[in-house]
Amino acid sequence: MNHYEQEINQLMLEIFNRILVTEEKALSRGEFKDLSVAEMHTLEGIGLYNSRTMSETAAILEITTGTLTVAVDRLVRKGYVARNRDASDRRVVRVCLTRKGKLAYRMHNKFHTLLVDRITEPLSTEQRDVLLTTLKGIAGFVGEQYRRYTEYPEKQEKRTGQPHETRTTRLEGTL
Amino acid sequence: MTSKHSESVGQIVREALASVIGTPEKKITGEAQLILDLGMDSLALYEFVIELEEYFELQISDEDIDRIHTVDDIINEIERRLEAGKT
Repeated sequence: MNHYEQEINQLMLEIFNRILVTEEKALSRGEFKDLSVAEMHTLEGIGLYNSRTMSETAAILEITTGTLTVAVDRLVRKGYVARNRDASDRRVVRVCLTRKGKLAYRMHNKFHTLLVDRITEPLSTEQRDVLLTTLKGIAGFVGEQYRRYTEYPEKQEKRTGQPHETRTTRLEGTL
Repeated sequence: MTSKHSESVGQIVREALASVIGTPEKKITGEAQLILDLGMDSLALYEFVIELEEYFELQISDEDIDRIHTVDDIINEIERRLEAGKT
């Protein structure tokens, strides 16, 4: 790794780790200290104004419905989420945020807004555009690698239209 | 507008505000600034907004909140939305 690569790598790791820790610390010191970061992200997956089915929410969060059920059970007990049967199909369970859940969601969202505002405030319009394009590129690449390591081969084949083996072989040299 | 909203918007906004900040309704004037005069922090502001969203069945975004400074601002905003919803 040359100096440039080392610096990029170091900065990416630092940003990733520090955002995670800051988010965790901000939560633990705030009004909603009984929520973990993962639970807060479950609230985000449910959405502020939605009443989503368990499977829709699980798909958004990219977790199994089993994992979501455990998380939702805990959030219902803590008073952040309400679970209801669908009015037109009693077999379907819908989840939505309670008033307390909405409050936690909005406060957490504010934290992220402030973070982005502080980062982008000193930048010119051109610099903001470059930052956005660069971040989209990074997110696209990292997302691809994430799916490569987490998706089942059949799902990957269905999404990409390419045989899993071929795709893995092609990516092997890049990461 | 439904019968639920027959009570004046101003009255409902003041009631909601009074319950969130614990100040008697009579002391809440239209010109009062939510943060500077009534001492609301972001938590209280969101509590108040959520209360109004649920009552009037509308959505108030963070961008909307940034534009709202006084009690009259929020009353006018809600009245405008309810009026627009009728058409």
